[in-house]
Amino acid sequence: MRPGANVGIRGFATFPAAMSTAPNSPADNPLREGLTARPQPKPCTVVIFGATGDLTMRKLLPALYNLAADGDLPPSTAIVGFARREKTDEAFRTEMETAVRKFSRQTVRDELWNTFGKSISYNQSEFHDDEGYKRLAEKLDQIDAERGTGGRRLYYLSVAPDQFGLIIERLKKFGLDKGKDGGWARVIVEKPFGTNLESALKLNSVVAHAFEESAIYRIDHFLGKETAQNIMVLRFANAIFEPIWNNRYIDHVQLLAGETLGVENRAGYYETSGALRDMIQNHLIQLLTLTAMEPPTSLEADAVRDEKVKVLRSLRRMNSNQEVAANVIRGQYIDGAILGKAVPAYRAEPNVNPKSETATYVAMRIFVDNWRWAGVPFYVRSGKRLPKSGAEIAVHFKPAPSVLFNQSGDSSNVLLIRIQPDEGISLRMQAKLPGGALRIEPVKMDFQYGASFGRPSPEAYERLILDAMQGDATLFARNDEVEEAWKFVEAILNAWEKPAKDQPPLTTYPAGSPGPVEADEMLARDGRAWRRI
Amino acid sequence: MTPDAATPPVAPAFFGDGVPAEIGKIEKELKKLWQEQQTVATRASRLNLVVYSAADSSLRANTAVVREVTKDHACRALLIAARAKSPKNGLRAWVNAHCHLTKTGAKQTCSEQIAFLMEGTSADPRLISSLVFSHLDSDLPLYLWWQGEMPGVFDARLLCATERLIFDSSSWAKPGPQFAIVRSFLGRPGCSAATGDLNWARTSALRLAIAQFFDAPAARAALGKVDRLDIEHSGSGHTTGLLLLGWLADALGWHAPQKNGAEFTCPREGAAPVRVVFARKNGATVSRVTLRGADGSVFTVTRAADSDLYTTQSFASGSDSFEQSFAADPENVAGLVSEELLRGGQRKTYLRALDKISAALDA
Repeated sequence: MRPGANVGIRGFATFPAAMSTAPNSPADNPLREGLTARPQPKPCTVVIFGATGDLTMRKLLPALYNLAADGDLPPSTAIVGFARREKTDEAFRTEMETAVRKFSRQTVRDELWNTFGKSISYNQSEFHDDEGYKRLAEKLDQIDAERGTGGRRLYYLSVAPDQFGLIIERLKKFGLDKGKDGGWARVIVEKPFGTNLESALKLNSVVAHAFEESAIYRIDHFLGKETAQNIMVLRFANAIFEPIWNNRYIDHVQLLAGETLGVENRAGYYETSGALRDMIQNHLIQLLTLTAMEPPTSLEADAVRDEKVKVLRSLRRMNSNQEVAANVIRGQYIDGAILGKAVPAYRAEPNVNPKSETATYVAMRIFVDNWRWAGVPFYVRSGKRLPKSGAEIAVHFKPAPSVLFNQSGDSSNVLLIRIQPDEGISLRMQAKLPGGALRIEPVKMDFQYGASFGRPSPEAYERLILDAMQGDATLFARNDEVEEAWKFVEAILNAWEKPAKDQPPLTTYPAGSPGPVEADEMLARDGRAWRRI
Repeated sequence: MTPDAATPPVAPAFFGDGVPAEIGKIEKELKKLWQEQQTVATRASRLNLVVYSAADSSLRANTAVVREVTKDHACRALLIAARAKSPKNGLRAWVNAHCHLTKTGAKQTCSEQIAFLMEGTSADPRLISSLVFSHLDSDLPLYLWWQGEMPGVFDARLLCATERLIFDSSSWAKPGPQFAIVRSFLGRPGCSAATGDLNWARTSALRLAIAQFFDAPAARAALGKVDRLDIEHSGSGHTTGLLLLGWLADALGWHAPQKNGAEFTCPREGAAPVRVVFARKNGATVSRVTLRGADGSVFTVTRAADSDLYTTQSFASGSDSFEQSFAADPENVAGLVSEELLRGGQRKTYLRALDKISAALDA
């Protein structure tokens, strides 16, 4: 169990004081001690900025409802939507109910919704309007008094980054950046955390203007997935892996995040982000750090994040366009077919510039220059319109010496960590084919979450919102993590975006193919090949 | 095999569906079961669940329970039934598998079940460990669910090999001596078996429902003023109610409850004693709990008959009346066992609650 997961232990420790000063003391509730094996935070008010947006309806409200339905959310938790559109509490609740019924992982029950719905209210305001924040402050005080949310506030900034400053500034101006009566105020910031190093630094500075770093939760939903969390357990709770988790035994590591979907209706965002900013700088680099980091001194958030930052600092920087060209392939999908259905080229998608230079595919060779990983390449790739959707980490071990068995083909052991779909872990080994002849074939030992644990894993947002409510930032990115990740990709962005004679080319790949042939060639030069998608 | 298709309704697997197996050749029969299957399925297991019962027809009933449990917990289940009064003597076995589709609906995963029937002179509890040790899925934890009264003597090796000893104190006619036996098991040197009382699991969400009332500062002030507790319970829910009382008394610093006619009284330091009234009502195991304060505050958790929701209502002076609904504790035994298998560690709160009510259990 993670530290701090059992809120009850803290409650018990304060029990005598709580009883002696009970009437007006904010001390912990003595009845909460040892109450549940599942972590349950103290009740708070969740304020969602951008509450009428897609993320709120598809992910945030369904996540909160599912937490409530599973008994993981304190019943007195309150939710306040903050957005520009004019609407009543009732209209907002109805919209949210429709959304939750559509997107929730569990069927919505009327009886539960009736009480959960009552916890939802709406605060209409422009993000720059002081009056809106005054009303919000009054509303939060009222909720504290009525529901016992104890001056605890969790702000979720589900808005474009250019709105962060406006909102943060006003939260500070009206004293909403602090908890009340011994409570706390925390802020969850949605990606993108900037579009380059400069904007990330600026963004961090804007948020830090009002909130301590320990109160800032930069969300990366990949880290909320069960298997991503399991990487540390796999590595550090199983004695067999750690001794071989280094350059003596590991040949290379491949990380993949691919999807069959094209740009869909996100062209506005994607045109300026591309695969590098959208998937690699955050999600895949985060997975890489979990795979490569040293054992942390504890499971405290900062102990884990310290180790991740060390990995980021060890990433070999690319210092010239030539180095970028040698280690990074960017591609864009042209027309092709997915699952037998013809699909258009990226440039032919709605709202995409017909001459767009945006990369929808990126493959990279990354070196982690430290003692453990010296000489071990991490091959990272992400793309749209690939033949399959999925995210995985494949650790390829060095092959056994071919002294006894004259094996052809790739005979190395591969430990595969599947992040999505079918979360699980498999190990490829060599085995003798039954019969007189000595024929060796690869076999797979397979562990699937869905098979061994019948209960579905919670959605990543459920886990992450709960963690933020509990004050556990382990699965959130710290400011220096974000900045180091941007520092690493900065040279690549410069090479692609600043015209030069030796600018690395934009390659193409047919939709439905595994990616540009240039990406295959990059690995072939190293004597390796991509895993089949 | 009893595959559980995703959509078409499938009759639950009953004991009679098992394949008879010769003792000593059970693993071979299991292997055959896998070879003969027509559909693609994955064998899955993450624990051993041993279920012992001396009740008639327990294999049939427990097969149905295990079938439900395996939806959440892939395991190897060993069902052991003892029929000491049977005119027959001997030991018989059946193998079976419980198959379910995974949440993605893509694959069938199956848990193996081995059922043993010990009859007549073979219904000797001392033989249980030999059956268990011969048929465990190696290296996986062992959960032993002992149904009915606890045995006075328990094989120490079996107990020490057990990660969690599951039982249901609501089924005990005289819970006091039974809890004493459980206590004696826990103290054995070299054994670290944790307890899992399904009767305590019946109060998990209920305790949460009660606790959440007092998150609000206004209500917390009323907590120290609670001077009356009413617990309405079903015929089998008296011990459940007592455990709940033990939990409240321990957490709130009340002294151990003293029997006072049909009621209990919990003395307190520097305050009037708390009056505790139990009432038997048809319906859920615990259908209503009400805490009343001297200042007029009232906190009620209600569970309607056949409902799987708790409704909470509170009125504390200085705050508005407040009503909520949320998921109640399972009433069915499979749900309780599933919850129990999710938990780890010793139940320290439970043991303290038990200490608090030890005298009341004997009263």
